[in-house]
Amino acid sequence: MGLLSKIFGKTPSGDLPPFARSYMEACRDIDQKVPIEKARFVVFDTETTSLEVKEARLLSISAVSCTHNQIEVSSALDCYVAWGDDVRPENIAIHGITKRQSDTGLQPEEVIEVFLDYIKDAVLVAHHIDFDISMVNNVLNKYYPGLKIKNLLLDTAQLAIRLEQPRMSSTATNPKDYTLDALMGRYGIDPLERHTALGDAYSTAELLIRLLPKLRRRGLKRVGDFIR
Amino acid sequence: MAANTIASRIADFLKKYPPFTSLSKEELYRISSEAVVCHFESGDYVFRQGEAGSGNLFVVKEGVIHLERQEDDALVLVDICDEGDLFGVRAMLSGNPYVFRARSAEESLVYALPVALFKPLIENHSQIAMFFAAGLAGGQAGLLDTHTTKRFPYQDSGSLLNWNRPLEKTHGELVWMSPDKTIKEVATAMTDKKIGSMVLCHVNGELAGIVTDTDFREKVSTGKASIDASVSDIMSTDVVTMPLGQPLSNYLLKMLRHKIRHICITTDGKPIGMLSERDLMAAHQNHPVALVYAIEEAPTLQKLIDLRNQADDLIRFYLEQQVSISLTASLATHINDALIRRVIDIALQEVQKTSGTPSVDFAWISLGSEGRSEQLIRTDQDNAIIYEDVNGSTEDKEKVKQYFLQLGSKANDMLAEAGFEYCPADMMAGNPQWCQPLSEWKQYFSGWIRQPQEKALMLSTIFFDYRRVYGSEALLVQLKDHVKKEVLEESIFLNFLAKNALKNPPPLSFFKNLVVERSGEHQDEFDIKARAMMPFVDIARVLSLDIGQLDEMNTVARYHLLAREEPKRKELYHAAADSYEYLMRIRALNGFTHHDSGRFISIENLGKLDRQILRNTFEPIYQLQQMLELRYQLSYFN
Repeated sequence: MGLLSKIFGKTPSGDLPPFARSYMEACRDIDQKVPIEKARFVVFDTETTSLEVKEARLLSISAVSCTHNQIEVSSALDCYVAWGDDVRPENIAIHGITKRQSDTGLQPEEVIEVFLDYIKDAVLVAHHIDFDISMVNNVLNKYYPGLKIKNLLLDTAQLAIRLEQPRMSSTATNPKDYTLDALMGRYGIDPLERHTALGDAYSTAELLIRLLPKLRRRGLKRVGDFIR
Repeated sequence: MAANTIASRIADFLKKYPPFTSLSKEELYRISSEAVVCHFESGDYVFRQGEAGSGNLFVVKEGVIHLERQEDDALVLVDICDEGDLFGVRAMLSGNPYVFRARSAEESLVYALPVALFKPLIENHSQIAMFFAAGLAGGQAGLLDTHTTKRFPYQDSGSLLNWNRPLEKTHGELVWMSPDKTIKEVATAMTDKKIGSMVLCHVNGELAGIVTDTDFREKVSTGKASIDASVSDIMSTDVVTMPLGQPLSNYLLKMLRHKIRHICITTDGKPIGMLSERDLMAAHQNHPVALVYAIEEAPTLQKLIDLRNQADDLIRFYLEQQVSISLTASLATHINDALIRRVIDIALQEVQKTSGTPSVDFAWISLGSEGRSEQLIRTDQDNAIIYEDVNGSTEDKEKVKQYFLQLGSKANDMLAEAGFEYCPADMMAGNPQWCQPLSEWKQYFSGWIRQPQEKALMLSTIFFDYRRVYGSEALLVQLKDHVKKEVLEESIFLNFLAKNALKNPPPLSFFKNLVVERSGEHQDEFDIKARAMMPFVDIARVLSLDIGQLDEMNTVARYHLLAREEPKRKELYHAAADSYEYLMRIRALNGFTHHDSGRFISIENLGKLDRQILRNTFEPIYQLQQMLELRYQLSYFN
């Protein structure tokens, strides 16, 4: 990762606003040798208008911060994106985000600034993280071309598969067994408020703090051990 | 950014459990939004013994946390916390390091709540302060003292509505004198007016103090004060006053709690009259003394039954108002004894119609819980008759026996009608086996003591708690001397009795969710009598017999006497006494609610607070049982 990111990181940084530059610099110093009990994890979830990355629009983004296997409730981040009327997505209703909430949300630029500042120095965690990262990168790229998420990434679905089926390749598992709902059922996690970004982020965080100690006993001790 | 969903969810969880139940929504939300959600694998430590306080209180969301104390070589399990339990309080209150460790016994989720947020709550909410002060959180010892149990919120008893009637006026004008008068002048005035106390007021009408007959006896007759001295020398200045217009029950409770008979009634801070216990009694015919009098004079059985039902309302009212259990139990005992004596009188009159007066002395004894003066609620009757030995032919003896049997059966029948059900094991005075001359009783006791088989031990647990209710005291004294001598000679009997006291399952296994009855009619209920009360009773009996204490049968009194006898275990014995009182209270209230003996408690319907206290009462049982094991070497004893 080192070389690529250095090359990639340098090119656009000149055009970026200060907060983005400071984010990029922080990511450059990521140390994969940090023991997991010392690392800060940010567990996040996004709500979007579609599951197709290309057409989906980001509605909200929520996150909680998690260190020492503890979730700090006061650290929770819950941002709604205030899209203008012209770009308001049609199927907004299914997510329960009313027009008012969207109106009281932050401008997309503000959301980016708040979120990047929040995730600085942290390992980013989500359930099926690829989708959420693509969504965030789309927004980043739209407003600040060339800006991308650079954090170390952890996918709780992959973690669970690694724990439960260490010898199998992830393609051989049934995806239905590794949805957030299925895992919550299996690990005895009370649903908080499903299908809101914050509710899902919190549930994912609860899943993470249950999985990490179990994986640690399998010898995965440093952040880098989790990243494939 | 607001953490609304997560914090509201935590708040929803917390508000189900004391002490959070008394917080407002906003306060709960504020605490919850600062919570840290901690996950522990089985065996992980939340904190370790000797570690500095973390600045957090902990509430178990899921799983089980063991609080353990390292003592020399042994690890002592202090408490087990499960869902909704709060722990880590002591370090918070004292600021000292943790005195025990908290270890996760299974995968657990724990909310850590910053102590800083609690400090203002303790100041603003008496219930919260009380909760911590009373030691109700996990691992806090020394609970259940009477000051705290007094304040648990129970609802008003609807059956005593007229107790809620406000006091409108005092009985008669206030009689008062100036505190400048001499002792002699005041005493003369009191004698003239035939009153037992005198209120002393300054000229502006403000209360100065009060003198009572006791003051004259203790401070004048003893020569401490001259009769020409000013009365202000002997008056007491801390007069209990209450304003007019409170519900009658408040005045009564004040008297009961302060153990006084008079309250000075004031308006705008100035005394306007005295209210005596007697005035209250007149205002309400349900007064205990009035009840006992009425029972003693009841002309018919029917009247007795009515009065006894009335007494239940009174006992229930006392229980719900947190009047001390010893007082309530002694009231119930007085009432029951009066009723039993009246029943025997009536029965005796009937027997005398055909068979004349008894030819020898006899005594009626109550056994079991009534013998121990612990019957708050009417349960099965356990009683027996002891009569003087008859010199004469077998025929003469048989005649006397038949006489007392007739008396016994009649009294048993009447008691049954008055709501004391027949004993299912037929331990009643009307049973030939339990209606015997003194010599036979001596042999019974000797047999139980010298051949302590299972049946004998079972009988011992009932018959060793005997108390005379009617008849000859001399017979009882003779029996007691005999028993004392036998126990002393045959001390191995105590080992059997101790072993028997341990036959109930060790209370530690109750800890997590309390052991409930697994089958039959009382599924999912907790047998408070067998599993919590009997161990206390049985242990108190063994230890009392061991120190030769055969006069006091009451369990609470037995523990207090033991504490005096063995000061180094004082705390344990007092804790046992307090726990037993608490158990008596919840059993009686449960019984009143369900119109039964109250012995089976539905754990589901018990509030979390009561559940915690109930669980905490098991700790002294556990310690006492361990003590018995060691003292009587029961692990080698079969």
